[in-house]
Amino acid sequence: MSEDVKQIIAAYVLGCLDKENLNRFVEYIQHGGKETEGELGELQNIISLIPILLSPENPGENIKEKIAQKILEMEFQTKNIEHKANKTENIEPDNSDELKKPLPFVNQPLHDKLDSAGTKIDETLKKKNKFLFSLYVLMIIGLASLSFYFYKINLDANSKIEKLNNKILQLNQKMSLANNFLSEHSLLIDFLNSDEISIYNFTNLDTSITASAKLFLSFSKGEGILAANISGKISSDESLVVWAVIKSKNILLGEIVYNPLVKYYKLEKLPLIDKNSIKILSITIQKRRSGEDTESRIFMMGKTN
Amino acid sequence: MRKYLELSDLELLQKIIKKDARALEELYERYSPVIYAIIKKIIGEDKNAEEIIIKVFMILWNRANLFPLHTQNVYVWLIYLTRNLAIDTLRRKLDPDNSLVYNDEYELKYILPVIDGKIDPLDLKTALEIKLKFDDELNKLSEEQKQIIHLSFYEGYTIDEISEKLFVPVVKMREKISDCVFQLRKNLLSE
Repeated sequence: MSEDVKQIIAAYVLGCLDKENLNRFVEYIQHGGKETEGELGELQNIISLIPILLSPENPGENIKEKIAQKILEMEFQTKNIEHKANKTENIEPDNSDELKKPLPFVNQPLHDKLDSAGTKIDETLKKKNKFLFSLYVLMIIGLASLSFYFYKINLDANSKIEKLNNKILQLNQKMSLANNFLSEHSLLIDFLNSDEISIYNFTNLDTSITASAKLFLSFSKGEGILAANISGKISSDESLVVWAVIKSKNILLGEIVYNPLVKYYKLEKLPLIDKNSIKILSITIQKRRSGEDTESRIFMMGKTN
Repeated sequence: MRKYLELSDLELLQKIIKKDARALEELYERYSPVIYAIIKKIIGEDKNAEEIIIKVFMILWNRANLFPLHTQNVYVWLIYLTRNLAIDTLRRKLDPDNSLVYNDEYELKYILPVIDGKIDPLDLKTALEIKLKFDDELNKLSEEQKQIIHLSFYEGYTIDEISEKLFVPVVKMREKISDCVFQLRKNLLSE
């Protein structure tokens, strides 16, 4: 054996070859390097005796536990991958005896832990499947409950919407009534905004007619409103004339053409009179004949309220 | 358990290949004190030492199928495996800029030992039997030779690095390394 080969072998067994030479020498050995055969092994045996001179040190029980734990984790991962692959390929799971060994316990020896790793993995996978199934069932129940809950909420909401619609309808009706009232009574309402209003109630003197009337007068504005409700027959050529009786004289306040559909009649341009001087008022029904004297009859009498 | 106690290292390793955890435990019981001693000698720190011994047995569990069964020499394989892993950890610790990634390829190339196919079988029991003799013969080496062995085996220095440390030219250092290894063999075989 050449000195060069000897040097390489010696450096190799002592572990001081640099990576480049190491790779080259390992390649040489692996390709059945005949020149170093036997000699290399002998030197490897000798150098490997060096650590024998060290005082043995017990690494402690926890190391064994950690190794067992690591192997269990690794085997679990491997089995898990295999299990997934089996599932994908629709292959029956491995039920060999290896996987039917007992479960490990805390103080169990390392080998027992590792022997039962297969079982533990299998159990874990079964547990995992059970868990997934339970999860699936719970999800279905949850979804059903949720659907029912939303269905109920929907029903309640529809019922509430219906009630609200009814309320809106009622409010609309009330608003419509209020609007009708406003439009019907707007004349009176506007008039009532005046500062001083004198109100006169009329009594029906003609028993053949059912009638009621009120007169609202604003002397400052020189205006008045007659609210009349007459259910008797008044011909189209007849009109109602409102009079104020002052010191035995009839003062004309206004003339209106009665229409059963109209409630209020406006009297404008009242003569300037002292309201305190008015003792009595009257409404007469009068034939309207233009250019001629009119015939009239007293229909209602009124006095201050 | 009795059965496994009686099994040889090789038989245990064959069972480990078949993922027999009891065999791994038995091999752990046999070798962990010496493996841990090597790691402590190289690394020193308890925490790293624990991580390395765990890794050694994980490699044993995962790579037992790569052991050359025909050599029947589990002892040498385990000693070198431990030494390589501890040295690699030490070198990485001392050189944080080390860009070599520890992956499967790296482990197969630089951590798993390659042993001679024609090596004689050796086991821990036999190694312990010749411990005293080996100690005597090692002590017959010069201080420089012992230092070379220490710097190589326990500190993982390369030839170039040792020559630099001991102020010896590289060419001369190669001769010295060769001399000390072959001298040790000569001493051992002399009686």
